[in-house]
Amino acid sequence: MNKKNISQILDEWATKEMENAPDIRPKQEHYEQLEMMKKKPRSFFFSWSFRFAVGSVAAAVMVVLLVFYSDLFQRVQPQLAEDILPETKVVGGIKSPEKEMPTSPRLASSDVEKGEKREGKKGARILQAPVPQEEKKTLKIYPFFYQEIPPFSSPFITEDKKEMATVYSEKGYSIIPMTIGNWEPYESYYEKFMKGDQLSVDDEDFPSLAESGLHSEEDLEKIKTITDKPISEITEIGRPEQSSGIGFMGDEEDIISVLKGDNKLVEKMGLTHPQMARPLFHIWNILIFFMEQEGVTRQWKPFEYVHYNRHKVFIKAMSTRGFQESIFNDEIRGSFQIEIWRELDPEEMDFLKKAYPSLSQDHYEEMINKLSYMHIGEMNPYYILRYGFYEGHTSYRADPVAIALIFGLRSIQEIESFFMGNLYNVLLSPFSEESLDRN
Amino acid sequence: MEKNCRLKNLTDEQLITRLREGETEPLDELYSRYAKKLYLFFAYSMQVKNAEDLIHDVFLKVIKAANKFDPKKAAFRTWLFSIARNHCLDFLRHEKKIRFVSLEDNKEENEANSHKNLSESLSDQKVEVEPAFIRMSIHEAVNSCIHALTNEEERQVIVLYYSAGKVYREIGDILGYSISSVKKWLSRALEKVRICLEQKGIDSIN
Repeated sequence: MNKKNISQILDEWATKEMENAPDIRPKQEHYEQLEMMKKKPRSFFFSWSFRFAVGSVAAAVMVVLLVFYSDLFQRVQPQLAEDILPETKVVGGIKSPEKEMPTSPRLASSDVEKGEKREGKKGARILQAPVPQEEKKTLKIYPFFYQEIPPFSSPFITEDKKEMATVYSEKGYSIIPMTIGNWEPYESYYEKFMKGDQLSVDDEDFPSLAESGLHSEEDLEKIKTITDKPISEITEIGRPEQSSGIGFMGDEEDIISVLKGDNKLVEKMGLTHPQMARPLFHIWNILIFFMEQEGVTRQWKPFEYVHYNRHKVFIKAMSTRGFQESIFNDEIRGSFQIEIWRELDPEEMDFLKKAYPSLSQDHYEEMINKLSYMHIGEMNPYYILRYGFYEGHTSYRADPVAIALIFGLRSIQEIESFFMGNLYNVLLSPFSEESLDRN
Repeated sequence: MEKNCRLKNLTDEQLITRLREGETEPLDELYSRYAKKLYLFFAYSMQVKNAEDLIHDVFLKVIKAANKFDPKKAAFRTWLFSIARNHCLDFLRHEKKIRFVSLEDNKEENEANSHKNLSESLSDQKVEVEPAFIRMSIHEAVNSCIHALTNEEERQVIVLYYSAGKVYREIGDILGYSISSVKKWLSRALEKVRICLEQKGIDSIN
C-alpha cells in the first residue's frame, strides 16, 4: 500500500463516514413551522402599519408622561456605600472595611425582587442582601453621562434594593445597575446571556458554607462527592488538558486541597466566600448590562473602569462564543475571559517595597502582578459562592488575596499583617497536601 | 428540477434569507448540505447516539431563529454548528450523559467492534479480499482512534476540521477558541491519531 499522509487518511475517513451516514430529511414539523412563519405577517396584528400605529400612540403617551412626571423616571434614593457595606476605618492612609462583616448571608424569599428574580432551586440557601437605610438623593442612571464623578459612593444600594456602581467610559461617568439575585437560568448562547443563580450555596454538600460563609474542616474531610460527582473524578477532569486545556487546578493540586487552601486564606483575612464572590458578580452583572444595551464584540471593552470602594477597577472582556463546561454537575458554564486589575497607588507600592526588601526584582514584579491583576471567567463567582472554589493555581485563578485588595475589601497593610512576609508564597505556591500540612 | 439546481447555486446566506420568508425548498437544500456533517459532528465529536433527533432539533432552532441570524457576525456554517454544539451540550447536561471515557476502556470496545464489522463486511460482500481488507481496516482504525481521543477539545477540533470545512477561524468561533488554540488542538489530535494508527499497524507519512 502506498503510504498516505494522516490528512489524506482523515479526509477519506470523513468522506466515507458522510457517505455512510443516514439520509436525513426535514420532518413535517419543520414545514409546519415554516408555514407558520409565512402566515404570521399576513395578520393585521403583525403588519407594519399596525405596529407603526401602536408605536406612535405609545410614543405620544410616553412624551406626555415624561413632560409631567419626569422626576419619577429619574428619582431613586441611593444610599452611601458606607451605610450599606461594612463600616470603614483608616489604616495606613487607605480606607478598608471592618473585619466584622455579616457572616450569615441569607435572604428570605420575600426579599427577592418580585417579577424580576426568582427563588433559588430547592435545597439551595438564599443569601441575604444588605439592608438599606434612609437617605435620599436623586441620580440619573445610564444612558445619562455625568461629566464629573457623581456625588455617590460606589457601590451603593438604592432604597428599592438595587445595587449600583459608577462606571467611567470615554463618554463620561454613568450609573449602572448590577444587582445580585437569583435571576433567570442560563439559556443558549445565541439567545441571551443570563445571570442565573447568584445567591444560592450548595448546602447539601457544604452545610457549614451555607451557614457561615466558610467551609468547616469537618465538611471538607468527610466529603466524597460534590453535586453527586466523585471528588476523584472532579480532580481528574479539573486538571490541565482534561475538560479544559488550562485546567481548573494545577497538576499537583486536587479539588479538596484547593478548597482547603483557599478556605484558609479567606478565613485568615476575616472574610467569607459570599463576600469574595460579591464584587465579581457585580462586574459580571455590569458586563451583562452593557451586553444588553450595546451588544458584544469579540474583543470587548465597553467601559474603562468601575469605581469600587474608592478604587478604579479596570475591566476588559473577551467573548469566546463557545462554552467551557463546568467540572461539577451544575448548569454553570463559561464563555468569557475577563481581565480585572487596578494600579496600586504609590503608598501601596512603597509599603510592599519596604516589606519585601530581599525579594528579587522578578519575584517582586510577579507578586505585584498576582496581587493586582486577575484573568478569570464568569464561572468564578458562581464557583466561589456555591463551593468556595477559586480554581487552583492556573491562569484562571480568582485569587482571594487579589480580590480583597483589588476591590478594597482589605488594605495592603492588613493583608501583609495576615501573611507576615510570606505573600509571595501565598500567591504563587500551589495547594498540594504537603504545602497545606506545612501551613 | 430546475429550481433545485438554482438552489444549489445559492450561498448558505441566500438560502437562509429565503427560509425567513417561509420557503420550504431552502430547508431541503440546507439539510442536504449539512445534515450529514452534523451527524458526524454529533456522533464522533460529541459522542451521542441519537444524532438524528438532535439534527432535527437543531434545524428547528435554525428555522425559529432565522430572523436573528446576522451574516456580518458569523458565517451560516459557524452559526449552525454553534447552535448544534450548544444544543448538544444542553442535551447531555439534561441527560447527565457527559462521560469521560478512558483510552483503555474505549480501545477494547472499539477494537472488538472493528473486528466484528470487518469480518461481517468480508463475509457479506465477497469483494476482492486484499483491497477491501485494507480499506476497511484503515477506516475502522480511524473510527477507533478518534473515539479514543479523550480530550474533548482535540476530538471536536479534528472532527470539525475534516467534516465541516478546514477553516481555523470558523472552528475557533464555533468552539470558542482562538485560532492558535485550534491549531494547537488539531496538531495534538493529529499526532495522537497518527500514533494510534501506527499502533494498529497502519503507517502513514507525516
